[in-house]
Order: sequence, then C-alpha cells, then structure tokens
Amino acid sequence: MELFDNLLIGFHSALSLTNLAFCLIGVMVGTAIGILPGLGPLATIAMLLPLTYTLAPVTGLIMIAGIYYGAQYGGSTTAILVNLPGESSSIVTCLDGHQMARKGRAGAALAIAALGSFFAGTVATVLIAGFSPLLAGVGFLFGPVEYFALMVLGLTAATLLAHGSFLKGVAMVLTGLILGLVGADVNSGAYRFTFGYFSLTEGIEFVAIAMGLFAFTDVVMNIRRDQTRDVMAPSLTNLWITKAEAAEAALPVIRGTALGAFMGLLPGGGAMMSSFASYALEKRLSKRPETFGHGAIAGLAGPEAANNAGAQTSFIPMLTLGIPSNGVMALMIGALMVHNIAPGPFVMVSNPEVFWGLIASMWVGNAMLVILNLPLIPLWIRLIRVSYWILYPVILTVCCVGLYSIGNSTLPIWFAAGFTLLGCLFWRMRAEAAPLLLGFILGPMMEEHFRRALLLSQGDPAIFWQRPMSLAMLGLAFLLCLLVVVPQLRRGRAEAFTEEA
Amino acid sequence: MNKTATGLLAVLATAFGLSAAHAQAEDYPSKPITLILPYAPGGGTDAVANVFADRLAQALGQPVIKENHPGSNSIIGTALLAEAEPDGHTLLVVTSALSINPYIYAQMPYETPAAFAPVTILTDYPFVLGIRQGLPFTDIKGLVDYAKANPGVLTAGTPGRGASVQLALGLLNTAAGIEIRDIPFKGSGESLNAVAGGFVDMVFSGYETVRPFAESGRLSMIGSTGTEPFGAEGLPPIGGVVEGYQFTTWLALIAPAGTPPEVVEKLNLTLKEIFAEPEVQQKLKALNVNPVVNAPDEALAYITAQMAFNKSIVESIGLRPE
Repeated sequence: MELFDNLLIGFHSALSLTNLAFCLIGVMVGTAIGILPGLGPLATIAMLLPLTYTLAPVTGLIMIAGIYYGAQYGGSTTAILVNLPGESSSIVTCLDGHQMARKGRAGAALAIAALGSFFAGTVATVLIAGFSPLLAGVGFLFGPVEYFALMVLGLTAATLLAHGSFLKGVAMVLTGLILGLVGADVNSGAYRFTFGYFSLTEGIEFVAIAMGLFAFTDVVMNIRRDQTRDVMAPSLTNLWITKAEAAEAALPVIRGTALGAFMGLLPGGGAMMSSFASYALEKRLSKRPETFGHGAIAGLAGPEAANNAGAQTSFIPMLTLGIPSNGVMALMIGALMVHNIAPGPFVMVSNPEVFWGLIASMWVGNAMLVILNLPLIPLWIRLIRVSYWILYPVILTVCCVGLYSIGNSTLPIWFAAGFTLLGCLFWRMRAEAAPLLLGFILGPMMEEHFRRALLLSQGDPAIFWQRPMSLAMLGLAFLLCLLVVVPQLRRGRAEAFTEEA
Repeated sequence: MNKTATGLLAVLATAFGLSAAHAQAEDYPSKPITLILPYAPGGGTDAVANVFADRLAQALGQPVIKENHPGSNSIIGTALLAEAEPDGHTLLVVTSALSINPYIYAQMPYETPAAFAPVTILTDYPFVLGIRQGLPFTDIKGLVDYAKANPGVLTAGTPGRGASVQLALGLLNTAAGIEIRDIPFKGSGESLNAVAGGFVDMVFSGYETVRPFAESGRLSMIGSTGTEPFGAEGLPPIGGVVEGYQFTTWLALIAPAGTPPEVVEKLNLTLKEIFAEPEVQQKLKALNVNPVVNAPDEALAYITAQMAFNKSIVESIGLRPE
C-alpha cells in the first residue's frame, strides 16, 4: 500500500488551488501552441522557463509538463481539421485523421484522438507511478549494438510507412540519410558538407526541415489549389463515435499505448518516433492496409495513443535517473536544478511531493484536456478557420518566430524556405516526405552507434550477432524486408503486364 | 612643429577619450544588457547564469536578457560577442572551451584572447571520474595498475572532439603513461548512459551529472580531477596517485575587446558583491561549483595560461586544428 500512500501525497500536492491553476494554464498554453503549427513545446517551454523560477518547484514542473503533453492533444486537432501537423508528433495524424474529416467524420476523429490520448495518458501515468524504478532499467539494456539494430529496424519500418511506391519510399529515406550527414561527425569530429560555415557544423536544423516539408509546403499547395478554406468543421452532434468506430479504435489504442510507453523510455524516442512506429505497426497488422491514408481509424487511433503515451513515459528516465531523453526533459532538469533539487532516484525520497505531485498532476491534466478539448473544439476551429489571407501570414510569422527562437538565428528560416521548394517538388512527384524525416534522424544515429559498437569491439563485427536483442531486431528487420520486397516484385511485375496489355 | 601638433592632438584625444569613457561608465548601463549563452538552454552554464543574472539586473538597474546561441562547441555564440558593439551591453558566459577551440578548429571566426575583454572568471570546478560496475578495481591506484597491465583494454566515454572531458582523459593517459581508449559520444548524457549500462568502462563528467547514477548504484565515483577531496563523499584527487595530474574547468564572463576599462571594472565590482552574498554562495555550492570572481587582468592571465595548458594536451593526444 506504499503506492497508495505515495499517490495520496501526490494528489494532495497536485489538487492544491495553485497547482491546479498552473496545471490548467500549462495544458491551455500547450493546446494552443500545439494547434498553431510552428511553435513547438520546446521553444515555448524555453521561453517560459524563467517564469517557473519564481514558482514552487512542483508548480513550475506541473506547468511545463502540462505544456508538453497538452501540445500532443492540440497538435492532432490541427492535423485532423487542416491537414497541417500542429506538432511534429502529429505528422502521422494528418495521414488518416484528415481523410476522416474529409469524409464528414471530423467530430469522430477528434473524439477518437482525444479519448485515445486520454486512455494512453492514464495508462502511462499508472505505469510511471507503479514501475518508475523498474522501468528505468530497461533503457540500460540498450548499448551501441542494440541501438544500431533498433535503428535498422526503424529505418526498415520507415520505408514501409510510405504509402505509394516502395521505390520512392527508399529514395526518400536515402535522401534523408544524406541530408543527415551534414555537420560534424561525432566519431572523428570531421566536418561533412559544411562548406566552411560554422552554422552548419551542428547539422541542418530538424525543425526547419519538418516545417518546410510539411507546414510551409501545405500552405503553398493550398494557395495553389483554391482559396476556400478546408477546415472540416464538426457539428457537435457529429462528435459521438459510432459503436463500429469505437470497436475499430479499441485495439489500436491499446497497442499504440504499449508501443508508445516503451519507446518513450528510449533516449531520443518520445512522442514522434512512437507515432511513426505505431502507424507502421497498425498498417502491418491491418486486414485492410489499403484503407491507410484514406481515413483508416486504426491509422489515427494507434499513433494518437502512442504519441501521448510516449510523451508521458519519457518522463521516467528524467525522474528516476536524471537523464533527459529529449530537449524538453533537459529543460525540466534545468528547472529542478534551479531549486537545488538534483534530479535522480534521490528525488523520490527527498522531495516526494515533487515526484508524486508531478505524476498525479499528469492524470489531472489529461482529464482536464479531455473535458476542455471536446467542448472547446468549436473555439479551436474558429482559431484555425480564420480566412487564408489572415491565417497564412500569421502561421508563417509564428513559424518563423519559432524557427528563429531555436538558436536565435535566421538560418533555420532560410532552410525552411529551401525545404518548402523541395517539398513542393516532392508533392508534384507524388512522393511521401515522412520517410525522409526518419532517414534524416535515424541515419546519422545509426552510423554513430554502428561505429561506436565497432570501436568498442576493436573492429570485430561479430558483436552484432552475439547479442541476443540485436540479433532478434536485425532478424526482424530482415523478415520485414522480405515481406515488403517479395510482394512488391510480384505486384510490380503484374502491373507491368497489365499496363502492356 | 608637426611633431608638437601631433603630440598635442594625441594628448587631447586621450583626454577626450578618457572623459568620454568616464561618462560612459557613469551612464552604464544605459539600455538592457544582452547576456549570450553559447549553449542550448537547460545546461550547467544556464544554471550558473540564472544564479547571478537577476541579481546583476537589480544591481545595475537595467534588465539582463539571456540569449542562448548554441552550436559548434560554443563558437557560434562567442563569434556573436566578438562582433558586438564593445560598450558593455553585450556580454557572454563562456566555458573553458574558449581556451581549447583555437587548437581544435582551423578557421576560427575570432582571435582568442585578443578579441575579448575578460570581466572575470565566475566559477571553477573539477570533473569527477565514474566507473562502471563489475570492474576489477575500486580506486585510482587500482585503475592505473590495471591499465598498465592491460594496455588499450579500458574505455572511456567522452562528449566528442575537443571537449574538455576529452582533454582530462588525454592528460590522464600521458601523465600516468597508460592507454584508456576514447569512445566519442554526442554529449555527456549519452556517455553516462553507456557507462551506467556497462557498455563503456568509465567517464569524466561534472559532479551533478554523475551523482544520480552513483546514488542508484549504476556506477561509482572514484576520484576527482581537482587538487583537494571533492563533493559530499570527499572524492580523492587523481593527482594523489598520478603525480602532477590536475584538470579544472571554468566559466568566465567576457566582453568584446575595446569595451571601456571603466565599464569592465564596474561589472567586475558588481559581480564581486553579488558573489559575496550568502544566498548566491549557497546556490553555487548546491551546484557544486566554486565561486571565483577575480580581477579582469587576473582573468585574462588565467585564460592565457589555460590556453597554453590545453594546447599542450591537445598536441599530446594528437589532435590537430581542422
């Protein structure tokens, strides 16, 4: 019953008036920035961090956490209604969520996203509370060898993710991989493709690529298409999910929650990777994979649950070991340090009200988000339903401010502009850009871990099959390749024949 | 005649310059001060800057605005300072990377230390050495003996090329005559993970970053790179076993070269007062850093000495400017 006592301490702290108020502020700000494409939680939290220094430690953390997971909810609203990823983790939500909206099921899509996220958030909170100490150990099982195998598996899955041509998917992953090479090589420190510019030594800014390829490209394409707004306004009567839809969403939500909860633990994992992985998984498991990209409920429900679960469980390595798994967690550690609290296993003992208060607030915050989000949808719609000529300059401005605030430099804005051109080109070529992003992130990490593994083994490649986890993941990747390539060859040949005939 | 005229002009110019500088120091600061932090938000530099930035704003009566300009081992943010107006309204908090970068990078956008007017060294602190579980030794002496008997077997995680941690390791290798292999990572967090997971044998890092792992029993701290017992555990200095071994890393506050000496002096005195406050002392102690705050000329001498010291280590471990 120790857990019960701990949760009691937690709720006692989280339900105090101040903490409730800041939790509400956090989730509202989070939802708003999630809805507006461009401004990410990292930039927002970095801006608001000085404010938290004047608050009690737990209050500050509760607000930051609220912004972080609130953004996951808000991001999906924009993705579904306007086909713009409000948040990088909701890129996948655009694929099927917006298609559902086009079919007049916008309300249902929003409800599935919110309820799926709430379910995932609740489960993840329970997981954090119950298994924090235990789960922290899982991340440690992953060394360079295991990470390399995981990346191989991830990249293989990324090619599956592309709807449309398999060949274009591979091409996109490879393009992403090449772009990812720009910058200083971690192992030797050598500069690659920096052309003598110091600003390029850290590589191309990821947010600039994502914003250019997705948000800006969409803006350009929408202007090109026509001037009528494409916001799918759900009527409130439309908000309810049918029984069939609920049944279709249930299993993907559970699978997405499990997958996201696991991936959140891995450094660099978190929300976005979880949603990509869940989409690939659902597409594989689906009896009708051809519906993906055309409003498949599983393709919305799974990733939505996964990104929220991933966002929540990425708190575990930070809370239990003081290790940040992403930028937001690094900021939270900074917020703790200012108050003389050293993040780590020690926090559970020395400041139980901080540790358990934060956990309890996550559940409270998730509940607030559901209660707030469903009735507030008309309000959010009004936010994105403003005419193009007002909305687009605003989106572009906010995006540019976000891009500028990453490193207080204009370079990312130029890159986003360049990638917008590239994105338009891809759009004309009917090539899906999402795998490019994965290739960009996973490629350099894969190389880094591969070389580190060989450095540790003094050049002996045998370590890749001597470790059971690595062997299992590499084997799985190989199987996936077979699964994809074999039918593709067969279908490819069949198509060639029909075209000739 | 000509000579006299020039001489007279020079005297006049100096007098005028001095009075202008005086006026500048009295008015200073006349607008908000930008404090550049050349690292991503959330790091140790931020933590120290947070301790004194607000107090500095109160004392000077102008807001102090922190701007993070991360990238290229602090070069991007430092280059911005070098180009800034030398009037004391743009300042930079920089780490010992300032004294290492000239020997790591071939094309530096600024000259160190000529492009800068150091205000003061703010803090200094040693690294601690953490080792993974399951190694056949538990102290520095054991480590050195083991490394001598098994050259090239032990590995250490470092946060990339030219990081001060890599220099601390290089110095240990040359000073003790051993060979611990350097495994580069992206940042110290990743290298700590790898040691805690048992994939790499040891890591040099800041005390606060290692402590959570040590407390959870994932790795043990066996020594520090300082000269005295360090931290709550009283970690023994590595120099106690390996003669002459010492590696200290530091934070400095610097202004662009050409900043009026009176302005630098005013900043320096204000910081001295702030760092003497018990509350500030306590906050820095909690971060396990040692408050320094010396005179501007002492700071410049220290930075110059550190440059020579780091240059010799960089050369001994075979790194070349690229």
